[in-house]
Amino acid sequence: MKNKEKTEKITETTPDEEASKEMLPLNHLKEAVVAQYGDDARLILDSIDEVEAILLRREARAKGEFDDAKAIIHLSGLSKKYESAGMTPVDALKEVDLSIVQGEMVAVIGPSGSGKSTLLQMMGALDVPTSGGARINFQELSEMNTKELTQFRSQTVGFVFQKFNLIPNLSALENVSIAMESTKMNRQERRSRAAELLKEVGLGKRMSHLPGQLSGGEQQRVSIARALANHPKIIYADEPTGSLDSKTSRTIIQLFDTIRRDFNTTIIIVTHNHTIAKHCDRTVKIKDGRIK
Amino acid sequence: MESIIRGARNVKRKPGRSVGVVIIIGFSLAIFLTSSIVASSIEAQAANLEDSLGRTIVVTASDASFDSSATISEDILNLTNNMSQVESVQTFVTEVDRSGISAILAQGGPPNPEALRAAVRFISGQNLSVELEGFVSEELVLVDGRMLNESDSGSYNVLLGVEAAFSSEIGVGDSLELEGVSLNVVGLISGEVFQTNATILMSIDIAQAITETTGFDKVVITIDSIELVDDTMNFLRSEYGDEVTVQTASDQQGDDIAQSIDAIGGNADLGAMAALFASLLVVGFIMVIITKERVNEIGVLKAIGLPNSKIVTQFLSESIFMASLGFVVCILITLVAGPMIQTMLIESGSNDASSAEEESTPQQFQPGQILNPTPESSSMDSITSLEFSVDGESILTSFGLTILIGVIGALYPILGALRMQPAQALRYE
Repeated sequence: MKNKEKTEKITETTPDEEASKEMLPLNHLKEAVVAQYGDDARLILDSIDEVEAILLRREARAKGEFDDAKAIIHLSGLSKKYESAGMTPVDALKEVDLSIVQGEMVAVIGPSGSGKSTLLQMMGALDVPTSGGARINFQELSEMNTKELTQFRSQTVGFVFQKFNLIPNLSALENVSIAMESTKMNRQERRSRAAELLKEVGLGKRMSHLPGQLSGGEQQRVSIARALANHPKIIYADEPTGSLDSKTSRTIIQLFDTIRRDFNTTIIIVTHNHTIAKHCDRTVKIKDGRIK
Repeated sequence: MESIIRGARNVKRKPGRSVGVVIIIGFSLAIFLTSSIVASSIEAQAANLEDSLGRTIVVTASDASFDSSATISEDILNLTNNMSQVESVQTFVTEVDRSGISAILAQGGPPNPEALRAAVRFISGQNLSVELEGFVSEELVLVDGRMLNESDSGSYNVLLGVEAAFSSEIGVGDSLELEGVSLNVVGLISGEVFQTNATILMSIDIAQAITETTGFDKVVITIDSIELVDDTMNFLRSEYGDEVTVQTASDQQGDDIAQSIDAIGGNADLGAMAALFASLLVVGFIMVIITKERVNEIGVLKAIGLPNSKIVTQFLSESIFMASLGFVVCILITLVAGPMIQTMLIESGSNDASSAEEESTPQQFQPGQILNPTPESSSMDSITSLEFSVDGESILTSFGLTILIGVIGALYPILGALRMQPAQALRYE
């Protein structure tokens, strides 16, 4: 992926002039190293930057420097109860409070049935909570009508599902471009952007293939490309590597890293994989519908 | 537009399932289309037949039998010639030729039933006027030679029933001696009843000469307007009193024909209704099933932010496209199998009625009733030999129903899925 801009230190405070003065010589040094040692050096230096950013964020959060009002995701007292006729009601989520800022990559972990997927669905407006509030991208979901929710799902968030959920009769290209149908882009523009996204996830030569003709990893990459189609602020990934082998899983997580770095996208990943969880800015543990 | 194209493309991309669905839709609709075409045709033809039978007056001698002289005076021809409302007049004479029977009985001993039956022959005469469009009865089948026509009036050319021909060992081109008169056999005929197959059919004036009779056993008068039938019948009754029986063909034979028509028409209507119900059920059910199995897909489309309107458009276009293809298959099946289905429907109806007819006619067979006394258009054959033709109205109606069923069948599950939250639809199985 293109290295569009450097990741800035994520604090809610205004960048210090002194600090920015110090950055400039460092940037020049970095470019000199890359000029001498090539693109491989750039990759190493970018990784160092990223780790540094993660540590800075964690430090800022530990100091309480994040303001809930500026959180891109803010849940307060969120609950979800499933009720079916003749069956015992199930409390999938109980009084969940959670704040996540722009650009964070958060892992949600917990045992099976703990409410991880339900939490993601509430945040992504795929379902309606029984009580409590969800403010996503500074919009209260409960105050949105059907049309606004549809637009929210199209423009603000992107979903990556464990079982990929690609449309079986559509090619990879069509699966990505369909996500842009509610925008003002014309057909040619949509297809062009879809092609560009598929190339970026390494599927430039598989665009015309149907999902059934793609491997699990390839399908998941199509799913990621689809999720990115409308430049969402937030990506929700529900067990994105659950059906994949370890090597493919690493590829997928690297993709997420790149997305987060290049676009400052907030990424929420539901996972059982502690390695992936350690890779994230922070981990949210959930058990029996409550955040621990 | 994209949604419509995607819908049509989805049908193309699942050829196995689509072909199966299209064939089922086509087949079930074809049965309905054929039945409704048959029902409409029969209804139209029955109306014609009813009109025709209603306009046909049958005058029979009250004491007519095969052993009595014809008793309707030839004056009736003068009377009818002066009636402007009369379209045509057919006259009949029939007698039993006893020459063969007498010969067997003269041999003595107990009569041999088979030999007696083989010896029975009837002398039947009919006027061969050109107004009758030739010597036509739908029930007669020309087995060999040719039919009689107007030019045979007054000649000794005759048609011989196949049983009479077989028992006498006479064929086309042979001569037949009858009461000292030499008759030329120009054709062999067969019909549905024994008496037709045992008849010697000739011009009426020759029949009258051979049987030494005057007048007619039966006169069939066709009136050009049904409104004038009653007046004509009353007039004839007033002229002939108790000597003759005057009734319409529908009164005389109408019950049997009406029963046949009712049975055939009833079968066709029943077939059409049953087929319609089955089509609605089958097509609607198929659409519901194939849409319900894609509720999950609808959930995905909702989850990625596709508006409901685009989702509905896509699925409806798929459904309409498939229903339309099914309709094309329906037309093809109808054109190929329609005539066979029509035959089945008609035969099943006419079998019920004709068995009742057969019970009543042989013993009560009246002179002059060997041949169908009514014009061709009034014969039951006009129903049973209906040509199968697909009309525009039936096609349009069937097409409209096809699309309607396709739309409703698809809409029902779609709307249900759209009411769900995306997560719910994604979990749907």
